[in-house]
Amino acid sequence: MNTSNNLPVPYSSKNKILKVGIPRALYFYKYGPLWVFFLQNLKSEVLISAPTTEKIVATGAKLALSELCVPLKIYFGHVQALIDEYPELDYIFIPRYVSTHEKQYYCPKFLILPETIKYGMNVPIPILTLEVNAKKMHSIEGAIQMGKILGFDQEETSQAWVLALQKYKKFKENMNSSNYIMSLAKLDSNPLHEIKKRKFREVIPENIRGKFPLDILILGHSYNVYESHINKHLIERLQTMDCNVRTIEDLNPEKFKKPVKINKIYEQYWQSEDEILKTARYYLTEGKSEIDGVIFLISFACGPDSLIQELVMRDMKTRKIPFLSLILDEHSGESGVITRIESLVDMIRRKKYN
Amino acid sequence: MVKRISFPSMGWSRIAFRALFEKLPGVEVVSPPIVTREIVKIGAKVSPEFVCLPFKVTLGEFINMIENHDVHTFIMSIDCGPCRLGFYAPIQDKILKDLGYDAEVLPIQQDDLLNFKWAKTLLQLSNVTNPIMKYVDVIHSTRIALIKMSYIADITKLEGLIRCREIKLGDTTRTVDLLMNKLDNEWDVYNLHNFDKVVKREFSKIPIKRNIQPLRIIVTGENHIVMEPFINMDVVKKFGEEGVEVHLVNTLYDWILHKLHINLKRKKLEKLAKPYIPLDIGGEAMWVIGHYIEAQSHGFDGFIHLYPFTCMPENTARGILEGQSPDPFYLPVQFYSLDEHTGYEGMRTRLESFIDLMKANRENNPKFMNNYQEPPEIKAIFDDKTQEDGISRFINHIFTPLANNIGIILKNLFSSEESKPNTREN
Repeated sequence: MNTSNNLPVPYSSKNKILKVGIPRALYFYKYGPLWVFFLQNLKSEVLISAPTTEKIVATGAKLALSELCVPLKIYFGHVQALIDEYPELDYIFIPRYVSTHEKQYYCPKFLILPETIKYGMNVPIPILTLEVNAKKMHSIEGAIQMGKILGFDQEETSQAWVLALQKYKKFKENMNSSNYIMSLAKLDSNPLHEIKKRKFREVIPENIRGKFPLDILILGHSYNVYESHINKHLIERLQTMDCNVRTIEDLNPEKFKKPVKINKIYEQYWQSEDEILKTARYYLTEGKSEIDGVIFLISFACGPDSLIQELVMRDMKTRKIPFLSLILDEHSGESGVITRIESLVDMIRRKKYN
Repeated sequence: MVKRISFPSMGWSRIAFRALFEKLPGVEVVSPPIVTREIVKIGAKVSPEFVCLPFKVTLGEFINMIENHDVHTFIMSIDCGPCRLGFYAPIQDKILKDLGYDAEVLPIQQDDLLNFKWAKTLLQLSNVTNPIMKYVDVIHSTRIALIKMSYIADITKLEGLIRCREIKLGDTTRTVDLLMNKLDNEWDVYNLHNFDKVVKREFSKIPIKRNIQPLRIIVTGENHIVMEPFINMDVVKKFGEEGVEVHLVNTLYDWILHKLHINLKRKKLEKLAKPYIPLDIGGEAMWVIGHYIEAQSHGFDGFIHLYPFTCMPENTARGILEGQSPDPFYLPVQFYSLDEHTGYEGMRTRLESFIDLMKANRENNPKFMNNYQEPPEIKAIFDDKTQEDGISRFINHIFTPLANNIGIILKNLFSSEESKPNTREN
């Protein structure tokens, strides 16, 4: 068997504070605050890997299977970066998200993420798993199982989980597309990992700046939309082009309540695609006048997106909303992305203000 | 009104699918033709860019049926699992309608066959008005389909075992074609129950080489890819012609039994694979890993994993199989990631080098030496020449042993007194 199975399991005690590392990739961009608050409530020191760089992407692409999607490759790179930066770690935190709704699943790659990392690359540090599986148990049971490994009893863990959930809810209310990246970065206390604000060249001439604004909706998973390295700073770039950016996080949570049915009879069973479809539904019906165009961010070889994109695209076509699907991979260059979004914005602007 | 329906072929499984719908009143089944390069090309043209290959192939088949065979209703299985299969029907329906075809894709639910949601589609197709008589047809056609499925599984399994032993090249392929044709046109339930004798008789006519020890491999992977010979470049036949004994583990019958929760073989494999994949993630990922671990103790020389490009579950399974260093159970394994551009010549080079590797292992690696066991199916077909019916079974198994026993007892009784003095003298 693998070496990491036989590693001694560290416990938390009064004089020892556990060090737990979290890779800054995949659902860190969505549930990251929750994990950080929960682990902090369990008296452990949380260390987060550095923001994605070219080196992390390259190591990830080297370690992972070539056919996997880019975010997962980046995850491999982040785990390696964590091991290199903090060799004294007690645990690496890799969650297993199966479902948070009885009839739905996450993408199969999330279902066995801990095993993929454990057997895919030989990790010298034990892996700490939080299982979220609404088909089998309440989320608090998964938390208690995790607390047991760290040496906490049921009461302490459930208290920590409830407090973390409350804090996460409050945290989420204040977040929108404009401050999402910065507020996530605040979770990391390491001064080396500070995200520097990059200045972008203003595209619009000064005399007409602000006169012809556009509203652009960015659809896609949070790990594509807010991962500025892989999407080449898409949000900032759109803002320099006088566009107001909207994302899934800007939509009122009320709109997410009604379930989606495809072709009126088929169940929608992907959790990760649920929000995308609901947002698309809102902007296709009630909020049609609020946006001028849609950009769908897809990572190459993403399974669910390959089909959902087709659905959304065909619906947008019938409603005549301009639609661009940007496919990202580890080789995509900056100028390729810029050309495509510039042409989209120019086209919409010409149509709207002529 | 008679509805003309069709479905994706999935290799020989089209016989079973045809059986499922043929006997329903109000339905005219048009059996799909064999998949060709043209069909795949049409499908790939209108499909999303990086969707998995089965989607493109089945969509191509639908368009081909609409244009050349005047069929406008199609049956497609859907699922509620984490894999993409559940979205096939709605999106194919949408694409067909956007292309301007007057066609509909009817879903047949297969996530759990015990909840009988699949029967709804059959009931909906039948035009019988009496609600009870409706069920009679459905039960009858399901029964015939299940029996045919089991024979398809038997024939495809025997095909892989026998082809490496044939003396005249092409005998097995011819026999399989003949048997499948016979099975497709056989509708009598009594004859179907006795079809195993036909299978045995036809296969036993093939002249074979006994006393050889061929290389043995397992071929597994995603169901559609493994079962559709055009898509996987007929890898079973290619290996067979090179003299390799192929154990094909994916069959439709096996899958249906699993969905009815009575497949003990798969349950055993799940247990083996549990440390690596703790829950069903769609596709065949769990059982691929299970087969890989199980093959260690069964004297196999190699392992072939076939999957469509960008398939989510099979990719993760491959990552787990491949990533471990050092591999705790060493077995040569080759992966074929297939899409519409895959050509045979590129595959042949890899296939031949894999066979060379296995041959070298046989000669040099003690793990692979002298552990060849002849499959019992070969013995059952080619050694047992006597035809057993009721009387011959009585004579062979009951009368003859009994007569022998009585003879021995009688002999002992009469000869005991004479033999005693002899033994004393010695």
